[in-house]
Amino acid sequence: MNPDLTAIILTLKLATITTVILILVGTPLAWWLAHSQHRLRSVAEAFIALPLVLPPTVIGFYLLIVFAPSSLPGQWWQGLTGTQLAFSFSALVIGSVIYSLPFAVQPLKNTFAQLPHNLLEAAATMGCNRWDRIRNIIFPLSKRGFITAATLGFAHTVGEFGIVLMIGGNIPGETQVLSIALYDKVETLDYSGAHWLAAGLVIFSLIVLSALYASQRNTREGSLWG
Amino acid sequence: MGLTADLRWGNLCVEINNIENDGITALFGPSGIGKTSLLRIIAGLDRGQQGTLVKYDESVWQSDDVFVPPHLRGIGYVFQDARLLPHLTVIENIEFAWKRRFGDNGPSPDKACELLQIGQLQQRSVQSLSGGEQQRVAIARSLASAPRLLLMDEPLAALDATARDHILSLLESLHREIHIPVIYVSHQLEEVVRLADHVLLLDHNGEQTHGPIENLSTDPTLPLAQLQGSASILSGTVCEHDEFHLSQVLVGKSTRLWASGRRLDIGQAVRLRIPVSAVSIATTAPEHSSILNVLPVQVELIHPLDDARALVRLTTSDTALLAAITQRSIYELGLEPGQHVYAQIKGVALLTDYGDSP
Repeated sequence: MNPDLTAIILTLKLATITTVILILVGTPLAWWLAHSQHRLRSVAEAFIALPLVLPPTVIGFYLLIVFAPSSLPGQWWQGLTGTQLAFSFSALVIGSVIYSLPFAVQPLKNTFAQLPHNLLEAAATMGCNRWDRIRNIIFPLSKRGFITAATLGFAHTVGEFGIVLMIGGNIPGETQVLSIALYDKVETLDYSGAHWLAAGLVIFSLIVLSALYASQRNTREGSLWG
Repeated sequence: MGLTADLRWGNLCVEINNIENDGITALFGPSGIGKTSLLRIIAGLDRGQQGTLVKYDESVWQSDDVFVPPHLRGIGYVFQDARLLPHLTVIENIEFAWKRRFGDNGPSPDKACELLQIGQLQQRSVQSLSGGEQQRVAIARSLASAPRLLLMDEPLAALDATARDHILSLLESLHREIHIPVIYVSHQLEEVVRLADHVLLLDHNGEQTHGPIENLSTDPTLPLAQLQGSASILSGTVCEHDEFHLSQVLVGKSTRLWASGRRLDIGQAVRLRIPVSAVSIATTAPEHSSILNVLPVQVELIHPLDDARALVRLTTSDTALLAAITQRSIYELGLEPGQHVYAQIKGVALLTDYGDSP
C-alpha cells in the first residue's frame, strides 16, 4: 500500500480510538472536576492541564521511561499481552489520551459546570431517577460540550508530533502517523511529498474547525449552556 | 390520611396533620419565613433538620432513618420559575412528564394543554414563550404526571398582573377538574382567598393555625383577616337569578345574599367574598337604602386592630362574617358582644364555581 495512505489510515485510527477513550475517561473526570469540592481537585486539574504547558518531549520522555520493558508498567504490559509497550500502537494511544486530555476535559467541565441544577430538580419531581436524568437531560443539554470535546480531542491527536516521536518511533503501519511521515519526507528532502501531506493537514484542520464553529453557532439547544 | 409532617428547618418547626385528600391547602405567611423550604422538604429536595418527619398515607417519606428520594415520592412540583426543559418543545415537555406519570388518573398531554389553554403553543420551543405561557406549560406538565400530591411554590410570583390574573382564573376552574391534594405556597392574600379550601397560616413567631378558609378568614384575631384587602369567605349554593344579572346565594339554611359575578347554574356550589371593609353595622333595620344585602346578625366579638379601628365578628345562625369599623362607631353605637344588629353589605363577589355541581 502507498506509505502515505498507510500513514493517513493509521492516523485516523489512532485519533478515533483516542477520541473514544477521551470521552469515556473525560466525562466522569470532567463531571468530578465541575462538581467536587475535594481538596485534591486543583491538583488533579493541574495534572490534566500539564500537556498544555510542557513541551511534548517532556511528557514523551517520561512515558518512554514508564513504557520501557525494564519498568514495572512495561513488564506488566508485557506479561499481559506478550508484546512490548514502547514503540507500539498501544503506547501511542496511551500517550495521545494523556496529551489530548485537557482538550476534551476542559469543554466538558465548562458544560457540566453550567448545567442548570434546577432542571435536574424539576426532573426528579417528575419521577426521573439518576440514570434517566443523565440520559435525558444532562446528555442532551451537554451535546455541544461533547461535540467540542470530541472534535478538539480528535484534531489535536491528528496534530501531535513530539510525543509520538518519543514513544512511538517511526514504524510504518504501526507508529508512523502523518506528522511523523511529513517529518520523514522533509528529512529525506522529499519536498513535493511533504507539500501534499502538509497542505492536506492544513485543509483537514480548517474543515474540522470551521465545522465545529459553525455547529456552535447553529446549535439552538446548546445556546444557553456555554 | 394524606400528608402528615413535622418539618424542622432553621427556627421553624411546623406540624402538618392530615392535609386533606382533595382540594387546595394554602401555606400562607409573610415572605422570608421559610415557606419554600418547607415545601422543598416535603418534596425531598431538601432534607430538613434532625427530627423531620414526612408521611404520606401509609408511606414514610422521611424520618430519622428513612429518606425517600424525590423521584419516588410521586409528587408534582410547580416552581416559581417554570423550569421547562430547553431542548424540548412545549408538547414534548408535557409528554416527558406524562411518560413518567405516577398514576392513571391524570390528564393526557392534549387534555392538559386544553386545561391550561396552551393547545396552540404545542409545537413551540419553550424559549420563545412568555413568562405566563411558560408557567402554564409547567402547570400542565405537573398535572400530566398525575402526582399523588401537587406542591405549588408561589407559581404566580414572577409574573405580571395580567398573566397572574389569567392563570389564577385557570387555577380556579382547574379546581373542579383535578382531584389531587394541592399545597399552595403564597404570600398573596388574593391567591389564597380565590384558591384555598384550607389554610395553614404561619407567622413570624412560629405560630401556626390550620383550618378551612371559611373559619380562618372570619377569625378577627388571625393575620389573614387583618391585611389590606382581607375578606370573609362564605360558601353556599346558587338559589336564584334576577333580571339584573345578580345571583342569590343560600348560605347554610336561611342566610341569603345577592352576589354579582359570573352567572352560574342554580344549585351550583360557590363561594362568596365579602371584603371586611364592605360591611357596615346599623342598630336598626335600614330602609330605603341602595344596599341589597342586609342581614340581622349578632355581635360575637370585637377585636381592636389599633387605636382607631376594630374588626367585629358578626354571626347569623348559619355563618359568620367580619366588619372593619372605627372605634368611634363602636363607641357611638354602643356595640358590645351579644348585641343584635344589622350588617349592611355593599358588594358581594361570587368567587368560584368550585366544588361539584349536584
